[in-house]
Amino acid sequence: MIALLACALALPLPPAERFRFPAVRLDTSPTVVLLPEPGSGLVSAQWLFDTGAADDAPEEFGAAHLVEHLAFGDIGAEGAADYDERLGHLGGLSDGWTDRERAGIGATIPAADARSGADLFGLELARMRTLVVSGGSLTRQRAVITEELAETHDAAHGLDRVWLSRLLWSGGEPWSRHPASPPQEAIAAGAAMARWTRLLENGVLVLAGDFDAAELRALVEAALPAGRRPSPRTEGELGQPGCEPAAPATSWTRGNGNRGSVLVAWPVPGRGHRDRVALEALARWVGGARVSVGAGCGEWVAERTDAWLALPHHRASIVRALREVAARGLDAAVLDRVRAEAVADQARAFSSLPLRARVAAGCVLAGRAPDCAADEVQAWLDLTGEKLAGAAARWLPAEAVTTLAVLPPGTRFAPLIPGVREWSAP
Amino acid sequence: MSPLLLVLLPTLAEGPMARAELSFARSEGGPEVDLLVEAAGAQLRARVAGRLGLRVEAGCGALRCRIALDGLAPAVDAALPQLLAVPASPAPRLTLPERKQARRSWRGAWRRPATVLDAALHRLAEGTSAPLGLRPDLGRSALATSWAAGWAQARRLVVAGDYSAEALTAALAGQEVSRVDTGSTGPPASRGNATRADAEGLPLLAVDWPDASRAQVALVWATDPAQAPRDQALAGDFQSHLVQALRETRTFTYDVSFDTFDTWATASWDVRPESAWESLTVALGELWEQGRKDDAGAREAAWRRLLLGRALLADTLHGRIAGSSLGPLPPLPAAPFSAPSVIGAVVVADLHALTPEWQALPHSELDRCTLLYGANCPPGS
Repeated sequence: MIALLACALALPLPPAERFRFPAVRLDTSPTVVLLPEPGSGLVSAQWLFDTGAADDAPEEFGAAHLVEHLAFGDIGAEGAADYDERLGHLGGLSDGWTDRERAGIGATIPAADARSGADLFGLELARMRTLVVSGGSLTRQRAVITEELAETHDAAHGLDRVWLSRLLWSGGEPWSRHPASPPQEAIAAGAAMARWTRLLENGVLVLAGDFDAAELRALVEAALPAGRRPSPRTEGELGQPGCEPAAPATSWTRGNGNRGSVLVAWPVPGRGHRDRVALEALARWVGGARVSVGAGCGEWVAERTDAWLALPHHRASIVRALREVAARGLDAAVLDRVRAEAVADQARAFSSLPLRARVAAGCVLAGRAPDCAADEVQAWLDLTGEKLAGAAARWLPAEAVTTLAVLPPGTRFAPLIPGVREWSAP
Repeated sequence: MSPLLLVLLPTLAEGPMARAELSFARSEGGPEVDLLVEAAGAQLRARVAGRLGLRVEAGCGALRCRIALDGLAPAVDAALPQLLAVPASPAPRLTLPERKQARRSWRGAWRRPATVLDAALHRLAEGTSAPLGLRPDLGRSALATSWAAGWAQARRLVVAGDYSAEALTAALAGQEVSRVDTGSTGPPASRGNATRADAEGLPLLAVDWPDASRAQVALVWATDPAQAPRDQALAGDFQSHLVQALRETRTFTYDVSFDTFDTWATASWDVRPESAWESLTVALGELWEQGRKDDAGAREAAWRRLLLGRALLADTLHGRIAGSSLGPLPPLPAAPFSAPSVIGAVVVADLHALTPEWQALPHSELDRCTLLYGANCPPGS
């Protein structure tokens, strides 16, 4: 056992340089990145846009999600073959997603021959130039999104994160800005098309896989105008307009299942902040926690599901554990474990061609080199107990915690959790 | 024990990662083997926890039970001996929380839509009844028997990624190994013959779920591995006839799930109860019209999307291992697709909320608990 333990401690983490890959960023508009991988058997096109549901104007709530759906519509003329039909003829499949801060669409085809890279870029070019958004496609995709939301909201506790956001941020995260909001009827074809055009101007397209990089580069640069590099999205830092935390609160509401859950949360700084890796390490250590960050603000949230009587104890133990880390730091062996898990997960994020392309897109959108993931790994390798303690003290103090408890129907709550107020669904 | 079948898969662009998967054929173990494999995985996880972010995955699918190491290559190399020691170890003891969780999961199965739908599909297609039985037997003797039966035959170790050949050789020392040098280990074993549609009409199995706000509808048809391109075109991806018709054209649903077994395949979707009947008729129409609609170009496109699926599997360690048990891809289809033979349909819904057309169809009706347990709902559920 001692020999095994010693053996485990001696296992080295891979250096950050193992996470670099050859990528070429072209100075085009939109920005295109080439990520050649000869022999992969695949070609993938991954778009990333630095605009999400939080950017929907009040009269256009749901537009981001709707435009993501519309991006797969008719090309060239209404009633002509749509993007997915054309992609299907190349043997390809597509996907898309929208969250509060960003949106992405992607497609992957088999590398059937030497022209596959050019074929996929040609399809993307056609979509860029001649996507059709009509009243008919708007109506159809609204209906599809309605069914999508009906399915996803059928799960218990599907709305909790929206309610938690309303507690965390001053003014609340309006319900309609959540990607789960149905698109407003007022969104017209012209507005949707205008939004698509703006997305392209500031977006990043990564072409990855089995193609001749020099040939594809020539093709892309001939087809697209020269342009400036995308500017990283900037928003106020935590505490400034747009990122103002609300007062800490403890609230409860009723769910659908027969067990309760508690969400323990703090507002934290956004993407690129020096403490972000430390905050993620704390989330890993606590377990059942996550850090979600936007350009200026983010949330650190731990969640527990249990019998409702146990929920106050879970809340107390999370707050207590973070207070102790802030005071005393983390045991070195525990930090090593957390670090190893994070580096392994970084490697898993590299585990497929489309994922590598998305990682590269995220780097470029943030104003960094396409292979910035290696720098992310280095930040984990450089993480110390002192950095963890400092992050816990600065951003996760006991007096700033917000708690949302979701209880089974029929639970009589008071007075078992003091200081609580009832929360009603919007 | 029989010799260990060893499959080594090539390393591609996955970086410093490796995966090793030890498995046995599902049919060799009893119904409690799922719990034992998960418990064994939990115990292995506790032993190797902290080792370079190593992940231990354990569980049983329809055809195989598996325990896998997944993570940075040096960690996988170091943990191989513990993985290979699992089959010869005694049946893991289930802790009290694990027993409670197992019983809770058994009792609550009738509240899980996916479990109910899966049971209904297998009942319709294979005649399987009451898959959960009266009560899981968690006695020590029963568990030991299930464990031993599971590992006694047809063990397979598949390794992929940046693993060390020396570490693997050392871990296998003393084991009787039969090496397979290619990635394919042949098509999966058959789970029995599907029943056929009778001449009177579409067999329909209706499962009542009182007060359900949504309905789940599924079509089941006969198939075989050679029909993969046809099934892909019918329901296998976003471009398929069913997804296009049910989602894009008629907006009944957001997604159509597709699954294929050795002799039957199924497509299922989630709809508002008032749309359930119409969605089924639209789906049947697509199925019957497929042979007429799919020209050579459409058939080639479907075949290319199958090819993409295989390439995407090969792109990841986990997928490469899963793909190693698939048979070869069928050739590009030259002849028009033949319409599949429909076995039947399933609806899981509040049957009182469905439109009247359902009641007019000849159908068998079941409640969830009879479907799953062959009896009333378990007490305390």
